[in-house]
Amino acid sequence: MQNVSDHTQQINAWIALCQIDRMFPDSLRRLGYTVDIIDPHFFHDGDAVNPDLILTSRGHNHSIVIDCKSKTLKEEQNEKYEAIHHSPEFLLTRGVVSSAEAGEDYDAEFAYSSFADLSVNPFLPENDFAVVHFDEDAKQFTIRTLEDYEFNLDELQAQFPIRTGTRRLPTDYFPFDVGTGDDDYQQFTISILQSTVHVALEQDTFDADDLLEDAHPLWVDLDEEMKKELRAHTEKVINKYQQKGLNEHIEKVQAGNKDEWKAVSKSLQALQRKVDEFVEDVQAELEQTEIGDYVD
Amino acid sequence: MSTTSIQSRRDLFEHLEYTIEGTYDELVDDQELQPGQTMLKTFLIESNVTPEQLRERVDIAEAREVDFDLHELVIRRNGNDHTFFLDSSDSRFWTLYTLEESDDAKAVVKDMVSGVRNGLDYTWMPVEQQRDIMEMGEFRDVGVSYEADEVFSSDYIEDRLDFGDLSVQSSGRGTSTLFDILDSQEELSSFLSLSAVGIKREISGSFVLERVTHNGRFTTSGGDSIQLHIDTVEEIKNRYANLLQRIEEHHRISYESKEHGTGIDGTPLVIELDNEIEDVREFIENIITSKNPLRLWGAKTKLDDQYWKVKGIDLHNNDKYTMEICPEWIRLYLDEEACGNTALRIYANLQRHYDSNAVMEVLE
Repeated sequence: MQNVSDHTQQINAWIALCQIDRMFPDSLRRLGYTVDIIDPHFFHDGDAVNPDLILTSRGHNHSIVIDCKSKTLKEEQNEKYEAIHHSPEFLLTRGVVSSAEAGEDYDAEFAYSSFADLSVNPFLPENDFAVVHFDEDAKQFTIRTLEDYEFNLDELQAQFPIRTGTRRLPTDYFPFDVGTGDDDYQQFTISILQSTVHVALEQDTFDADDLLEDAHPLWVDLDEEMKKELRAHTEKVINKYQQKGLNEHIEKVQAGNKDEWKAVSKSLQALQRKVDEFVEDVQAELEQTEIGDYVD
Repeated sequence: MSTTSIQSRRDLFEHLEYTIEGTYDELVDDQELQPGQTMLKTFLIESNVTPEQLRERVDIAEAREVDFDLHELVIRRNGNDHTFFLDSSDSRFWTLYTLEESDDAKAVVKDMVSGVRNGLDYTWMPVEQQRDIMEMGEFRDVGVSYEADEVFSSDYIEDRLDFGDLSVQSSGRGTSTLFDILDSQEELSSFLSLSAVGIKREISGSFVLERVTHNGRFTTSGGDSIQLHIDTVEEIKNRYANLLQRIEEHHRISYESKEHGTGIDGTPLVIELDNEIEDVREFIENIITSKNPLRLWGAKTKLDDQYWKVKGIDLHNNDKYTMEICPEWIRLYLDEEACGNTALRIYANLQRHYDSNAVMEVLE
């Protein structure tokens, strides 16, 4: 798919496997899995651990801890994730996992997920990790586990390979990667435009934080460094929109040392006529911008 | 109409019962109403505001509290005054009664529900609910009105659709048979969009003749029991309210910040299309124009040649929505606080203006 990063697509696909959706398989939902936590962050043995998702089935008293990768793996990551296999109950006792019941038979498994074939990766560890490959053909994705890297829970492993029946994955449970990788620029730009209109009709003045809280479900849980980066992105995007003509609808106002905006026209029919041009132009300009240019 | 004698709900309903008995007698005897004589029109309105907030948004010349949660409103439009009785005892679904001329009444209500962020909307009944209404009494008449030209441009209709508009009105003997014949024609079935259904409802010796439109307008052409009319409106409202409640319970996506990350709840709605979209980009450009009846503002991005994403705002409540659209289906994500009526407006209007065979499953 265009304009959505592989990372964002994977996160959405895993969430969708736990949902009822007539256009996408619900293989994990049928085993009782729900999305326990998106972007979990916790500590173990002095290390910060930050996978992408934890899915938990109460019925099986089992969690899947997933890290969505591109092609690269790092040895130190493997070591962090081994702890989950060796002592999964710490996820319960520290309150990381909320949907499972405490008990001796609780288990959690770690899984790498990727669109790339990780079997050739030199850092693929020799342990009990599951490794899931999203294999795309002309008609669909086949989500399969690599041989020797399968899930230990038999009922879970039996679901694989999962055939999606479509290449058109859901994309909006997790609308854009908070790292704003290049492939998610377009989702970022339309999310900010949507939130600009939404927030401008709700409140008198607004700033980048208001837009980000509205645009991304994970905003309040992000660390300060990430928030700083996203603020810079957002101000860049809204300033680009201003240059393209959004200033006829949204006006910049001075508020101390930060930028704020307010709505000056609520004629959304007039704005609608310019939207395509806005998004395409801003997208094109942002793609030519180096990542470092964002950070003040 | 003189309404000074109406001091309570009972007074109002007695007055309306007298009216529907009179209109029926005239129609039976003379097949037409006397000058100045009108039928009862009842509008079912979905509301997210209070009656007091309504007064800030509509030009109300006079307002009088008749009974608890019942107000007489004289609404000014183009220099003319129009009398309505607003029953807001159900705060989410208001009932508006009027004896004004049909076109005037429709225009006043259209103004009332069409403003940006005004928190009011029609009750947009999907085809399935209209067909259920047919089962509530003896089937009397039907209006089929496929009006793609209300949503789609002439170029789009010329290039992509078999019909720009298709209108069939039928009443009397054989209507049911005619409708069944049309309905059985595969090449027509996607375009048989119901605009109104008419029934004669009889219970325990009382009867009422009702014509119910796709957007919650009841026209009562006769009867001998206002209570049966009220009961009919209530029953249809309850079915609609149940559908809306299920959408809001299961199909809004919410996120919860937890100590170690973020949780998610809710699932999107999917509208499956029988009339497949030939060009998804053009289709989207026609449905996100910010105009009635869909009232959707939005920005689109391409996911593949025939798979696009729209992120936008529903202008009736300023709620966010996201759609993913391909030729065969539309996936609709509603925000945590979104009004479920957004989904029903999109669904019912796609059935009415694009594909009457479209199906949207709502979880129980």
